[in-house]
Amino acid sequence: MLKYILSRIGAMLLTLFLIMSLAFMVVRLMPLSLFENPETDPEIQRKLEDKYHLNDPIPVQYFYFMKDIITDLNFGISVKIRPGLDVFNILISRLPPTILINFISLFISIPLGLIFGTIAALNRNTWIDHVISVLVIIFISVPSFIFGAVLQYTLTFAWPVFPTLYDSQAVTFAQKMHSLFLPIVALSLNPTATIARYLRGELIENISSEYLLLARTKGLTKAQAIVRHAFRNSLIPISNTLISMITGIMGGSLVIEKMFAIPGEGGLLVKSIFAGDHFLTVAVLIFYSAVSLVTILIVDLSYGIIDPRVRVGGGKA
Amino acid sequence: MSKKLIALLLAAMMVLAMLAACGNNNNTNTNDPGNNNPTTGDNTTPADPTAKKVYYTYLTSDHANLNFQDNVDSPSETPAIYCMCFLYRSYPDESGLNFHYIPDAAAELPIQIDEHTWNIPLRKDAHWNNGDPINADTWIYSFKTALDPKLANRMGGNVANNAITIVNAESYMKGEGATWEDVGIKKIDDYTIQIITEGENSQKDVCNHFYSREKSPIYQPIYEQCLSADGTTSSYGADLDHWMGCGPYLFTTWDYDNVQIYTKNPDYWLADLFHWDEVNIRIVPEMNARVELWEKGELDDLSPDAKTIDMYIDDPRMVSYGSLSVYHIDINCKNPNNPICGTDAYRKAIYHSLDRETLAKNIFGHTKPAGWYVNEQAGLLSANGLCYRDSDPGNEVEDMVNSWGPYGYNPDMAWDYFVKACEEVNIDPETADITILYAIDESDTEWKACAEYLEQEWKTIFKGHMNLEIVAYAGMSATDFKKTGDDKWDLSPNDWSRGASRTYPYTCFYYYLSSYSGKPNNYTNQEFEDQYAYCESIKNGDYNTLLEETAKLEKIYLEHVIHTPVVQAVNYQLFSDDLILPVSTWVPGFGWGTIYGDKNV
Repeated sequence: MLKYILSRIGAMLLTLFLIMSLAFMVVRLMPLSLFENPETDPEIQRKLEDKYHLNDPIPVQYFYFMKDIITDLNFGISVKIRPGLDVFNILISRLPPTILINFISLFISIPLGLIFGTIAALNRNTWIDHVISVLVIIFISVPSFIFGAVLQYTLTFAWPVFPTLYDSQAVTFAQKMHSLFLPIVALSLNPTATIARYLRGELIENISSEYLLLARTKGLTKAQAIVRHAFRNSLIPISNTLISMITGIMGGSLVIEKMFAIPGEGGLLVKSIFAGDHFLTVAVLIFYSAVSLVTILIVDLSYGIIDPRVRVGGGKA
Repeated sequence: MSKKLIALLLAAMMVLAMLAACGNNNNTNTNDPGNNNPTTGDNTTPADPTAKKVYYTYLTSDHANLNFQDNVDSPSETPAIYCMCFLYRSYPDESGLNFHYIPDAAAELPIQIDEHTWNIPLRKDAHWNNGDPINADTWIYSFKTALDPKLANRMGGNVANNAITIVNAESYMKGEGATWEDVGIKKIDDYTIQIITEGENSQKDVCNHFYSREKSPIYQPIYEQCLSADGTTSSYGADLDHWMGCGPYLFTTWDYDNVQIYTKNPDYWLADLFHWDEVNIRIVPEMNARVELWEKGELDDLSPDAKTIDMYIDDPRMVSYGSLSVYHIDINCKNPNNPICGTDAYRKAIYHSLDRETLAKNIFGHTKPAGWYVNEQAGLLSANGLCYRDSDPGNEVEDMVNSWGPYGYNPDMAWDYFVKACEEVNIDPETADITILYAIDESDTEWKACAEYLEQEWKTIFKGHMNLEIVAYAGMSATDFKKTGDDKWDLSPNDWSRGASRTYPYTCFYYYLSSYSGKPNNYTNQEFEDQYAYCESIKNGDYNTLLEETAKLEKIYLEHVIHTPVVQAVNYQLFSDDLILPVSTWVPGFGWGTIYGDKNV
């Protein structure tokens, strides 16, 4: 198992290195100067470019880029969004709201999805199943920012129960969550529906399988058979969808953060791209890639926990 | 059964949606039809003198940092005017119709020593928020830093040359030979500095020059802590811990991209002029969210965009005023794939093909058609306040334009010029099949609609021989897109305007001079450049003569169609009924003066 974990971590680091290199190349090969501004004197522009090695050949720039990251975890200095501030520090400072909305959305979605998926499967072809299925289709088909807009209008304006925007001045966690409730709900609808849909399908298949019948004939109650066998086996394909769900939530939060004025990483990525703050853009891209890769790693490792047959080299289950 | 259930569910959702849409929004920002003057705050509710007065406003984006010498973001003007001191500050007249300058950190208005020399006496009680004094050394250090050639501050150019031009400042900044000793900024004693200018200027020009964010002081101890070892970079102002204020308000909270809070600085030497106990600025990029906040009474003002104006057009709280911008279309004359674009006749064909009345009314909405380029505000800050567009020379240009057709629109002339342009480049106009690339920002819906309208209109005007093809770009500015190649565009919309034209109307053409590095097109014309230079040379002379020469410049512009004007923009603003503003009308160069505002609470 240790060998498997190490090999997965190695593969993840290699992938991250390739993504970093690609992100650097794509951003730096853009034709315009980082300091492009009609009001800036060309001479001043040239001096600024010299200051950041931008007039050096791309391989030299790449060398500085990788050296700074590997030796000092230095992603550079922001030159447009927060000039003078270390890019890494900017990333860290914007992490809390992003973590809150992304991960709470995910952590809410998983149990809710499992509950609704199970209810739908156990009540197959009843009105409960139909209601859940219709909602699942709606929540999967409609993007999160549409729900964000609807929730923002209905619950902050028509019936003002929640604040229109994120309140960074909130003192207590409860107050903070009050202003984050709507974006979290908007982001969690799609993954909840995705999990419910997958689980319903898997559970229905497993409930009608022969091994479950065997379990029942050996004396297990229906609930015991479902929880111990059918439910557990249904989780394996669902764990795979976590990867796409996390990237989906993060993608959705790019827009949701802007709608609710949440100062998170998503808004930073969009802003840095539009502002042409290349150092920051690359760093945020690396952050998003790292989160996705870590998710993949966790999911890969979790296979072994959910299903011992998947353990590589483990064998003796 | 399942179909019925689904139908029931959908019906329930529709009812819920309708209920939500019809819900009472508990609008606390009541619209009192009897109060149609937002600037008077004519509210009969007695004010509670002990209540906290908070001004709730917004910015559409946050500013990058508080290093005003380097920060080119316009939102940074807000913390600067609230939280920094200046040598001079604009202040409303008692009439509520205009403004004047008052000494801020200066002890009195600038004293003219000779034609080029001004002495600025400084207050002895001016100080930073931590109590450290602000004296001549502070100002000299600040200006020297702004112009430091090693730091290459992006706003340094405005210190050297804006309302006045300081001797040798630009040469020092660019490292072109001048030393700091040659620069026209001198310390006379601890509480007097001297400014030496190129050319003669008025007292108002000197005050005006020193009231903008890059001329606010910097706190030396922190600045030097933030300076890199090689002296080329400073992180000063990156956050509140690396910055020091000295203005009427204390910058107490800065949650980047979310909120800024300023609280009144009781130790500020002019504190009595400012009435807000707190200024609460939300960062709200989305227009819909801004409208919701306004409707809920959580904002004291709102600038509606073109799509939102209709919602409030009959709202008595809405005020409008002429904008500095004349929306126009830049014309590329060097597209290698379109030889016709190098001719003046082609440019005239485009000029006469624009039905500006229709575009103003149906496409842009709430704008005025404009067949000319000098904006409606040009000249408002001149010595006698005469706006160029209201002057005889300005009217003469308008008459000339209207003689061609309404606001210059004349499809027959457009066709004739098109034929002429074709002949000049040896193309048979009857068989020509020319495609003109109209490059637009994908998110700019008005200009996109304009392009789609012209696409249809041109089929008739140019009889299918010159057609428009829309090229949409995203994620970059028009300036950046144009730099990707002359073959990528033929026409490109623009709304650039120049604030200096409020004082000197001819300067609105500044961006189209060959000497301007960020020139948005590639057309040059010597006659135009010479006339601009002539206007520059007489700018401080007789104003009527300047207006006449500006009209000549505008005629040259129209003769060669340096670019083609489309509509004069109009600004709209909503103010809450509780707000009391210091001016009764929008004052060019001063605005509404909300920093001096008050509130019925």
